[in-house]
Amino acid sequence: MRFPDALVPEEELSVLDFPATLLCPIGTIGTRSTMIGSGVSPASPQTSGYCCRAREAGAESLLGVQVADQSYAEVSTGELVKRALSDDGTAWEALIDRFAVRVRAVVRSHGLSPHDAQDAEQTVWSNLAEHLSRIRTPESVGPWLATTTQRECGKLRRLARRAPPSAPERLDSVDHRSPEALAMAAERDRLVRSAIAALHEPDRTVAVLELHAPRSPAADVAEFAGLCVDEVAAVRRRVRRRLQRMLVEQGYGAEPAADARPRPDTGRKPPGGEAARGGGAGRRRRPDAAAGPDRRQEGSA
Amino acid sequence: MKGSDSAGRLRRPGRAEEEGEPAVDRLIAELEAEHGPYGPVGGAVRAAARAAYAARRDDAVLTEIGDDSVSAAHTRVRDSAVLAGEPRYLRFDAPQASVGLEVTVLDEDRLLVGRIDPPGPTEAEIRTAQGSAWTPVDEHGAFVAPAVPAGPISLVLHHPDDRPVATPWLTI
Repeated sequence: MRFPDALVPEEELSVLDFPATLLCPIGTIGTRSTMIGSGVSPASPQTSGYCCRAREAGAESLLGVQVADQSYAEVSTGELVKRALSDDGTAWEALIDRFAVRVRAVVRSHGLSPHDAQDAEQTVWSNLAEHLSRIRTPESVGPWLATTTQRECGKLRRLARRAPPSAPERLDSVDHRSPEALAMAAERDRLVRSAIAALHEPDRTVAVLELHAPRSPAADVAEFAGLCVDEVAAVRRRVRRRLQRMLVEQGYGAEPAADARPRPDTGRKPPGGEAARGGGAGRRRRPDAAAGPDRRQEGSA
Repeated sequence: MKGSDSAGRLRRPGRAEEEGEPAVDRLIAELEAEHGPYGPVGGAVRAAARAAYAARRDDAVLTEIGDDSVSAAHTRVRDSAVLAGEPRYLRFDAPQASVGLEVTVLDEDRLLVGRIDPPGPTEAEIRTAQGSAWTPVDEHGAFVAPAVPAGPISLVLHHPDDRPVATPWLTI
């Protein structure tokens, strides 16, 4: 029986039912519902008027509402409650249909997740079943439902807002670097950048590629730097050597400096030979070791 | 032979039509669930309402929620009520009895630990939308219900020779 409710003329609904039930604080709604029940006769327009309107419009037959429900469209809410109490399942269904829109409207106004919204609706209907025999004024089931829904939704919203505990490993880890270490890393980065800037093309491009895309395929490096693929390996070696020399000259790296300074002289000036071959592995590793942290710093900088 | 042939021929176009339409059928079913003759009440909601209607106890003493840690105002910044992992504490009051309940979240399930004061009931029935579970209540009035599905529940504490005590439904 969704449609009769939906078809209620707006002014009637808004004046009599929705604002009063939706906007009243939870504490005061009880007084209103008892007032309606005690002061106004059961056939008062507040509780049964909108059903009559829908019936006049012939909405049920037009919109294909179940035949079983149709017999209940004319029954007052109080009568429905009475019949539901005497184990009439159809009356219970009719009661749900009659107020489904109102309950859903309240639930939706709270912006709950779909799951919570469903829980809220289920809880409200379950509570109505339990309260059928205990409602003092059966005609005011509507306001009672609105209040109950309101309260339940508030609880669910508060439950959903509770902070989920997060695993320690998902928290930000502590930064153990001291300000001094950060300043020194920045200084080293600056040195590396200025050393690369001092190189000439195509060495500079090769150096930049080494920094930002380490271990790129030779073909890529050749394309970027405008070299032949065969030249790349030699240029790479040359660039690494030059960079290392420049950094050492500018005083970078206390402990590699002691051991690296003689190397370029001995390794570079006498061409080829066992010095170059013997130092090849070492030299290769050393710029890596020197430039490795730089790369990481560059990446993070 | 002829009959089966014609039946096959008749069935084939029909089946082809069915095979081509499942998406439309599903859409129609969804639209019906949302706006159809059954109204806006979802199937699960209606089923839960039906189950609660069937399980209602008009003879029971219905308690009221007296205290709910979720509704309580936070007194401290790190109040346990603001943490999802902390248990939720509820108290249900009736004129002659009160039920304390601790609800702990364990993934999709809930662990209920409760105590009724004064003791007397011997069995606790946990009503859910999927049916009822029963658990014994010891002589001090305490009971434990592990693996209760999340969603609406209600407790009924059965007394051997007195009216049962029921709590209102609430979502846990």
